[in-house]
Amino acid sequence: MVKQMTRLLQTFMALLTLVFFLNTNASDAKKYNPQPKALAFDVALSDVSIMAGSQQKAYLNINITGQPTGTRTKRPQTNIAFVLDKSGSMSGLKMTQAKQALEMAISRLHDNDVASLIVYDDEAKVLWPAATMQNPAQLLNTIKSIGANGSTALFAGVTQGSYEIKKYLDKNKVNRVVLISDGMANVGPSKPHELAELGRALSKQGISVSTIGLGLGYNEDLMAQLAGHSDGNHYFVENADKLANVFDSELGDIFSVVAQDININIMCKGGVKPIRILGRDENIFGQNIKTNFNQIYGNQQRHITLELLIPAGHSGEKMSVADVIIDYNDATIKKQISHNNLVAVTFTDNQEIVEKDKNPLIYNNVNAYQANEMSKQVVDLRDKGDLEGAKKLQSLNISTLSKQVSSSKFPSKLKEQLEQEEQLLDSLDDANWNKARKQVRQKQHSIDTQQVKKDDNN
Amino acid sequence: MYNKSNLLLLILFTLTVGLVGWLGYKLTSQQDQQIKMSQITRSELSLDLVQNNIANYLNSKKQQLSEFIDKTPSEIDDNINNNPLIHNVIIFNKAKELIYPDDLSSQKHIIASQWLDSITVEQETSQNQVIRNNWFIWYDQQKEKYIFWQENTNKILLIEINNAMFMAEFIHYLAGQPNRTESAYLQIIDNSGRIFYQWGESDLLNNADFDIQKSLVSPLSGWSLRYYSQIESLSSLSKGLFQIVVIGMLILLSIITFILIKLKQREQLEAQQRLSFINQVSHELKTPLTNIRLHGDLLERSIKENPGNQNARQSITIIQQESERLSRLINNVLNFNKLEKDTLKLHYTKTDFDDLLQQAILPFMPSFEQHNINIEIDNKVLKSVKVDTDVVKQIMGNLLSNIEKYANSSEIIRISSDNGANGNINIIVQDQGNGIPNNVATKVFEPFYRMHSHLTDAAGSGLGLGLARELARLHGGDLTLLKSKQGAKFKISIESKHV
Repeated sequence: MVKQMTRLLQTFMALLTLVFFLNTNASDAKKYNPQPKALAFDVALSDVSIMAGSQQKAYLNINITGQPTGTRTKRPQTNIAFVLDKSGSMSGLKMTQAKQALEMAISRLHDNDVASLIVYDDEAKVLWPAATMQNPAQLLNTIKSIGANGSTALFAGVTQGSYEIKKYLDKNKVNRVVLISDGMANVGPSKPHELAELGRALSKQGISVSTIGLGLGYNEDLMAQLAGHSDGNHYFVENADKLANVFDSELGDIFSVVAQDININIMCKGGVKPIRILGRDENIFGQNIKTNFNQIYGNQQRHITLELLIPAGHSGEKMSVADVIIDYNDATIKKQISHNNLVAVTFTDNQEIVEKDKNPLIYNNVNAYQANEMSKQVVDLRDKGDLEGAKKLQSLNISTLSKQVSSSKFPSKLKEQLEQEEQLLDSLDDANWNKARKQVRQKQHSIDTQQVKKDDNN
Repeated sequence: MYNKSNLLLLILFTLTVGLVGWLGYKLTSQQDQQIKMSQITRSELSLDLVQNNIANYLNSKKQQLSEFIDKTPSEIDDNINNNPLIHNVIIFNKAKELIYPDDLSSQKHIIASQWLDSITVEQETSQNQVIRNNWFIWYDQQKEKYIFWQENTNKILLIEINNAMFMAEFIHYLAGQPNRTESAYLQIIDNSGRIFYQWGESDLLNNADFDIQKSLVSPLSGWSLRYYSQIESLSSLSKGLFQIVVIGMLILLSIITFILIKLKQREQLEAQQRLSFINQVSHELKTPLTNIRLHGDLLERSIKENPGNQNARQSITIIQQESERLSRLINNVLNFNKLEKDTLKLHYTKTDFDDLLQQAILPFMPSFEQHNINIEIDNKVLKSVKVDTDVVKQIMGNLLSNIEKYANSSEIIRISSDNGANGNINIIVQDQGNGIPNNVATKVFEPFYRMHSHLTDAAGSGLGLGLARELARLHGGDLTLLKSKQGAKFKISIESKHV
């Protein structure tokens, strides 16, 4: 009797909990904004089934897709620092076109957007301190007055731009430095790794740097690294008359931001050990690994691929691999949203099952990444003057990639990559290697940052 | 004689110019030196200020980082994730066991142990003071990493910073410094010799004639602060002004010297004229005296032989004439002196103007008759006038004496007189000689001037016309040369007091 009562009570309690739970869900649903979520996630392991008995390498992949901008009711507010190289080499048509492009960009900003203008030559000067766009006419006059002379203090220019952004730094604004340069930085830190570090530091503060390399005289490594490590875009513009298009597409990206400050926190379970995230800066704290995207544009697809070591298991055993927590700011409704996923793996003795359960898309990502890394080594060899070595390595790269294409179930992405690598092999001999190299760097950059959106500015 | 004194003047002039130039040069170079010294001092002071400010800035960074030793693990986690300056943090206890983070990859662990070792080495080498925190630079694949360490009684903290952020903060600090040094250009040079940042007047970089260098403190101890400035000599404006003053002085000196030389030349000319005057006058005095003596002797003899002789009468006339001439000459000289000393006084007396003219002409009559010169007098002046008869006679005498000497080829001398509109008496004397050319028309009145100054020419003192004019002017009138077709035509004008 007592037992029955207890059971009844337990059932009642369970029901009560269920009702309560449903209620909470219902009230949550009422609170939801009619706008759909800004981001969609797809968290998966490269191998769902894994051979038992030994330590295995696997990849955890997170796909993040930005919601199409068409479904958004408004664009995010922006906080942009335009950083313009006004060194001597910019004089003439380049400066005229850059000013026109700037004026065009300014005219597209709204009252509530924040903009600042920094120019640099021997030193950096804040021509227009960060302010909301209440008085665009005066800013346009300031732009008109810019002349070109002096050397190239690029690092200082970007630094001062970032400090202008910080005056209005807001997680609900798109905070971005747009750098235009045509020359080699010759004042201040100017090695690519130094600019990469600056990009990393700015990214930590939620600031991205988009870099526009103008003409054939700039240092594409420096510009690509700065953009790459701060989640900004990198453009190669050979002719100044294309600047306006680039600005247009850059502003298009900025306006289409759907989510910002996307923090990805992966907590590995059991004896699983995180190794690295392919092509991204990450922080590893024991079994925890953290990385961050500054922003995702509408329609944009990005992914991170984490390399893991899974400890040996017994056949038939199922094991939790990692808990993935992602939180981000919706750029337009200004709300923090959190997403949680648990991934698991099953150990088996059957190699066929292992092969069948492999995720071909994730292996595509891994293969594309590896091909891209190898192409960077090819460029390094070519830089050192070892043309033959570069060709040999790139041929190897291409043959490996071709095999992967032929064995992949969904080869379209890899095919694209293969085309690029073949182009690189051709351009190694190119008389205008300087120009080709800039194009290659731009493509490598877009693979590094998994920019699926196309920007056809060349 | 005066060539020598001119040379002396020239030497004096050169010496003065040289002295002025030398003094000016000395003065400006001294001033230049003073400005230079004060500029160097000022530059060093302002550079010290910048250097100190930077040292304070870097020390404050050190202070901020040293506070990490008391932070909790979650606070440190937060900093690593969000603080752009903090790249990594590692904490050991005194037994060199890892306290933070929980786990390190073996590779990182090895590096961290090497870091600990370099701290120990630094502490051992610094003998006297105990170092509790400092920076060291770690090279990882040729990349510089700044590592900060801090120690307390039970922990050792190691912070790997983001170098680029450290540099960015430093640049932002430098760019925000309000005390931008005037008229200078500053550069921060990093340990590889690259320009890190620069500010100020960039023009100075290319034409700086002066720069100083100072070093920075850790972690930028291999870096330097370089200061360019231009030693401003006297400003170009004051330099130009100085040049103008010197040139002006030179011009002034030249003018003064020129005037001095001219004055001297004139003095010499006058002295020469006086000398020739004395010769002339001596000659003049000698001629009548010789005649007087000769005729005196003849007279004495003829009176002895034949009293009432016709020749004796002639000798007396000659003696009278020559005495007149002598006294006129002496009067001229005396009056000239009086005029020069302003002591000549007029004595007006009532007289008949016809008589006065006759008296003036009378002494010349024998000579004129001798040369067949007729005198035509047309006097329209009222009979009774009040003038200084001696002065009028002397003016007339000087004019007639000139005719006697220079125009004795004339047939008629016309003398006309009337009362002028202003109440003056005008006398016009015209001869038929060679006349006076226009170009010397004014010079003939200057003392000692003679149209021809050969001794052999007609005798004369050169005083006559000048003196006559002065006397006429003294008498309230003037003596002027009128234009004439033939011969010389003088107009005497004198004031006549009411009778």
